[in-house]
Amino acid sequence: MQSITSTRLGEIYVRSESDIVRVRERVRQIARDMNFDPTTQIKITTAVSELTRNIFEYAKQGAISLAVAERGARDTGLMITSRDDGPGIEPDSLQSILRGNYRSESGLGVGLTGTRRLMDEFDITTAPGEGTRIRVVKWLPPQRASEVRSRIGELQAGFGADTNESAVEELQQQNKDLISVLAELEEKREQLERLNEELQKSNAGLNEANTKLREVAQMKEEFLALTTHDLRSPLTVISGVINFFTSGRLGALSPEQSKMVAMMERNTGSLIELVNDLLDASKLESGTLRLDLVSTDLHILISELGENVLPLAREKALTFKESLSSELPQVRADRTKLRRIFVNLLSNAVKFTPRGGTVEVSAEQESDWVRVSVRDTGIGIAAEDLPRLFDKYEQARTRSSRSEKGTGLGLYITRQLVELHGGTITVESELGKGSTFSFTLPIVGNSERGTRNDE
Amino acid sequence: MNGHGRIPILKVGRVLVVPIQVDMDDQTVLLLQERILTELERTGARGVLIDISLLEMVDSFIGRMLSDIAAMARIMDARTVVVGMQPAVAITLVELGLELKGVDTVLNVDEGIKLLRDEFGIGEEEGDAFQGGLNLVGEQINPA
Repeated sequence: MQSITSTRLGEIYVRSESDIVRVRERVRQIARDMNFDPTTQIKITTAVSELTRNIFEYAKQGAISLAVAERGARDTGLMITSRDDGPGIEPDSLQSILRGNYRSESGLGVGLTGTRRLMDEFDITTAPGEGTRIRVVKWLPPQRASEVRSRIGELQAGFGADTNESAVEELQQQNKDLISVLAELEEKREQLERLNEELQKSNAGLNEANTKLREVAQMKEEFLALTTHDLRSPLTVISGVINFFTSGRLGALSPEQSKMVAMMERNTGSLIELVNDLLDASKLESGTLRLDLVSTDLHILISELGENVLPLAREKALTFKESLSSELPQVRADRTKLRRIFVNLLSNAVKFTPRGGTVEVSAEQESDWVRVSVRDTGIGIAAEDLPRLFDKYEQARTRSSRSEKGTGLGLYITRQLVELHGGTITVESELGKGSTFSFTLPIVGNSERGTRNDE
Repeated sequence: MNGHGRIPILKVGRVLVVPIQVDMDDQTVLLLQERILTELERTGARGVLIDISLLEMVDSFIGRMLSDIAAMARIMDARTVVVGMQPAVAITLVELGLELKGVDTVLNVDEGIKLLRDEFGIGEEEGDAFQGGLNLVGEQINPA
């Protein structure tokens, strides 16, 4: 019955026994109006009588609705739908009823099977506790079909005019339906309110947790700033004292003593570097780091740095190369911070490049920027580590360098500093082949573009 | 719509004639059944002739009622004949799968009376009654 469309004529509620007669009369009338032949009129009426009786008997109330059915271009007929909210029918019983094996206690059990035989189409939807819906259709002979199709409006009007007597009942039913719908709505509204309340509660909880988290983060930053500051002061003193020894002002040291002092100097140096890292990170975090931007010549800066790096490189037998383009413009940068950027990248390169490798610094102009690259032939970085490489405290996890010292702050600080200058930093790397870090710096004359030193 | 007033029960000789002329609701049907049995007892009639020539629809309930009346009447020693069933109703009954168990059917009232008279000799003793017209028992025919 899939392709059948229907045009509703009307509905009759079934709530008392006398409604059975009323439905019969009404259906008989419609069948007559639709020009069914007398025998068919009687068949339809009888079938509806059975359906209506079933409603009354099993569900006490329900409805019969009538509609003009159309299928394809020609088939036209009367569709009758019976529905109730009664107990429904068990699938097993339904099978037995439809096979004609069923004998009801009250009747001869011919209702459903009989109806099916009397009508052309029969369709039942039912389940225990879900009521029953039966749809039947009787088709008109083809020669009458088109005539009826042209009169659907008239049939509807005719049905409407006849329903006055049951209007009150229908209104009552509709009122009842409305009330139950309202009750349902009310229940839903209450549910919503409850949900809302719970949401608000959990929201409040979340807010509280959020505030606490923020407080904790704040405390952490403050603690970091304080401790690093307090750590630096004694370190400065120690480093000063060491200077006294190395400068020879306290007299000549024995070779053994010199060796010890050199060890102290190295370790104090790296401690100071660590503390500086922490201090910078904390300043970057709190947004209190300020840049002192001046015109800077990269040739000079890098050759200065080269002097610091060369001894280290020599120690590991690394080749250190500089390839700066000769017409490199001056960049706008904070020299101290820029030096720090270089030191971080170069010391990383040296640290992670095995003996005999190469570390190369290059720089060239790219429109309003200078791109600086630091390339090494070191151990490289795994692809899965690249995205988080510049995060705080992130030292690549899989690197064989876990034993290498470092706070994991170096690259984080480097990126922050580059970005403070208005530039960007990127990395390309392949495990075992080496890494290339490259960053951009604004050239002089583009202060309005690059250097937001108030961030 | 107090249905019980609408269906007359006529006594013709020793036969009760019940012309059903309107569509009945279930209450009316049950009441009619009861009234027929009461009249059988009261009049000692030997036959019941139910005329359904004007009835346009017999569904399973009405069909069952007719069977029941026949069965009950038989127990009260009366024979029941249903007359005047319209062809369309007959077709419908068959399609519906309803058998009117224990009910004899004939074409019209004449045939019905003849059947009852010929086979059981009932209706003869008071044959005069046919000349004298119908004896109305129970309620009057409602002209409306």
